[in-house]
Amino acid sequence: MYPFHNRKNFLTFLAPFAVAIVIALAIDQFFQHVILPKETELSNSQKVKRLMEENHPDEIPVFGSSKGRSAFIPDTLGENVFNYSMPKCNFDIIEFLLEIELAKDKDSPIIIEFNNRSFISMPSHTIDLYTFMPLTYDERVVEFLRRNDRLDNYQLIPGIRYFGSYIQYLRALNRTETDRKQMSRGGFFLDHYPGDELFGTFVNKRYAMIERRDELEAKARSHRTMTLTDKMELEQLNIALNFAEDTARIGKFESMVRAHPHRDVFMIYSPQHHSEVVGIQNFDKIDSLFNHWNTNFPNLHAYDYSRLALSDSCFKNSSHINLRGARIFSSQLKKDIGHLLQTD
Amino acid sequence: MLFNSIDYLIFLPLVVVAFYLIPKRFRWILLLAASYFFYMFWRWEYVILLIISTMVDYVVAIKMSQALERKTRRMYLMISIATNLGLLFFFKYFNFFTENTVLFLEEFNIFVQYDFEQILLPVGISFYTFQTLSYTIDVYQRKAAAETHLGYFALYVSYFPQLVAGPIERSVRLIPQFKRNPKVTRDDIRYAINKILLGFFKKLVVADTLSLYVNSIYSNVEGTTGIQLYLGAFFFAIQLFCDFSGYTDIAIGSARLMGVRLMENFRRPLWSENHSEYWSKWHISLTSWIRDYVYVPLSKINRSPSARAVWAIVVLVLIGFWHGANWTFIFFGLLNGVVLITQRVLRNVPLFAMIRKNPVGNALQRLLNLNLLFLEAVYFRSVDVRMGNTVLYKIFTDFRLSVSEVLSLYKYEFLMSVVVSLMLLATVTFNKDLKFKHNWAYVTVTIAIIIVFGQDLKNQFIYFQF
Repeated sequence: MYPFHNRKNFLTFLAPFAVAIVIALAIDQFFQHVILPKETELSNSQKVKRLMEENHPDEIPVFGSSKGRSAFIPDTLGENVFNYSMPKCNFDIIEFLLEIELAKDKDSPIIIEFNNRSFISMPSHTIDLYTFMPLTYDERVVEFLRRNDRLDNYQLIPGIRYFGSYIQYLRALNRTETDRKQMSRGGFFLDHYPGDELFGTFVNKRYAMIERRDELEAKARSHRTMTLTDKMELEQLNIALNFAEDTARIGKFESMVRAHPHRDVFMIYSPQHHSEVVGIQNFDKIDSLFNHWNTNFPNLHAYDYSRLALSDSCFKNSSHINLRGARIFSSQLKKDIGHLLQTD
Repeated sequence: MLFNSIDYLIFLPLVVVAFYLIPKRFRWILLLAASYFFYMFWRWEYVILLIISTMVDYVVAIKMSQALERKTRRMYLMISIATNLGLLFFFKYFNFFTENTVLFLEEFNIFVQYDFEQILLPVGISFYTFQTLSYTIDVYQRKAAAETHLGYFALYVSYFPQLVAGPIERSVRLIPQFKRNPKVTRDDIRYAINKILLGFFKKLVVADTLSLYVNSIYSNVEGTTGIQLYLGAFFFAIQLFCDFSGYTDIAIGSARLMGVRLMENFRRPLWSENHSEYWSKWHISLTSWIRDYVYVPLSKINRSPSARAVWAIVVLVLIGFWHGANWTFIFFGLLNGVVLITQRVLRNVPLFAMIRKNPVGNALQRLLNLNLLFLEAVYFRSVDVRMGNTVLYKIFTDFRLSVSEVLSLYKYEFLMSVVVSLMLLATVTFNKDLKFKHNWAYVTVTIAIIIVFGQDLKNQFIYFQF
């Protein structure tokens, strides 16, 4: 037992670690059974749980990112619509949500929010563990996390599985409806415009990015040398501004849709601020992709509202529309495809 | 392998248990194998660089000790310097120098076509390069004897607790400890555990939580106000301290578990009276290295006050540049040097001497110094000099001061930053020597705090990139 000389000393040394383990387990169980069930339907975990464990035959799910969460108003679109959108959710997560939804014995339509970054693959950034860890009792979640290299075995051990997420769960409890924040079946809408000055700053920042991208591209075309910093900056700007056309991922999405011809899938490009649209150099690829889907897939319908005329006051920042914008958009969407969303 | 990973939490106890189970004479083999495994866990290929540095310096030192003529010894020293700095230059600075040369030539309409490729920086190269260099220089200067046992020397270069981010140890301190196999007491173990827990607290709770706010602010410099940027600078300086000193605490604790005492790298540097004091308390193993092997030789060239001022600036620019191949680090070093010299001059002004002696004046002076450190660290955090300039410009021109202004963006991240900063303040106030009447309570509470407040960002330690 060197350097403890005897067993008693050694056990005394170990005692605080044992107490710490007991505390960790107690905190784990407290969160598992008391805190997590208190989360509202706006919580990402609760949304995924609802999708996995509940079956609403007529429900029309909306899958998408924070752009989708703040754009599709279920109350406007129809009583069967539920907004499953969550921040940072692109095809990395939508693929999983679609798998669950398509495995159900249903024939209701599905709405997916589209944007220029929908098909970028970056699971380490998009798949938040605090969303999925409370659901790891379900093998599908474990398989999904492993497939995306987001889960190590130790993360399944009670006591440490929620490490790093506790504060996030407590924070989620604080999301309640106020005069300026409205919730509607998974959707979250802010009645707020930041003011001309601040909004102008957001827009100018994006224009500065576009200008810088153009500058670097001009440099790349000239006889001047692109430094490593230039190359990396250009790559990052293109990721941020352009449409990421990942043919493998798009192909996978198409095969999922094709395999379920009885489910209509509506791919909706929600309204974007004009500064975002003008930055997409390869918008023609989005147009041709939408045409391709509308022509070749009887059950895949693509609609582009990215250039819907909305004033600045319809945005909460240069990337997301606010309640006012969401109302205009959702009404327009209802008018255009509402008859196709009838499930009875 | 990252200290803040489950891998290390398995690796360290296994090594420690094995260390106590095997006979003392074989311990160096275990530690050497563990150290190479630790390094290769990241990328096995780069262990070749470690082996090159080890072999070259091992042979060179022995040759130097055998050589009678100073000229011959100097030649061997040059071989060691060229090898070590050559590797460091290629992996860390080659692209920087080439890029700037190309850009410089373009100013004169001379265009060079060159296709830049990313060179992956071997983790810890700046640390182990300086460590082995100190050894060969010490042998050259006859301050240390050449180590004839290749195993002990290889362990000195690669010792895992301090391999990737220091402290940069001298051979005369470390190698004898490997050979002596000092007796480890219960107090050593208790101190080691407390130190490791303190390190995890600083890294996982304080630094990683602060990084949430700091990263948000620095990714939106245009959209944030002066006060928010100032707070970003403030929290970044604390983040940097906790990140690096947290790493060092874990390193010191890990080594102490096996009876090795590594040097302290930080002595409460942030609350310093001036920059001279700060740099004597911050990253002590690097600053003392630079002092001994750069500043002292430079001072011998010219000892006049003005020359010493220039040397001080040169040394701080070098320290800045050591951190990374970017103009931001050079600016960071330069600013530190200028402030240090200015403070040194003002120290002799009677009014300032009087202020310093007054307790309130002294506190104000420390506060001012702290603020200067925050502002200088802006360049350390900025992606490029342009960003650093923008941040400082906004801090000094945008005076919208109100609570609502502070909380208008990243409210949650800000409030969490305040909470963990207060925790840190309580820790450094009540936790000076890591000795507690009820040590079990300290261990239990610290682990509980780490579990609840720790962040699982899998963030590398900032100093790993250097």
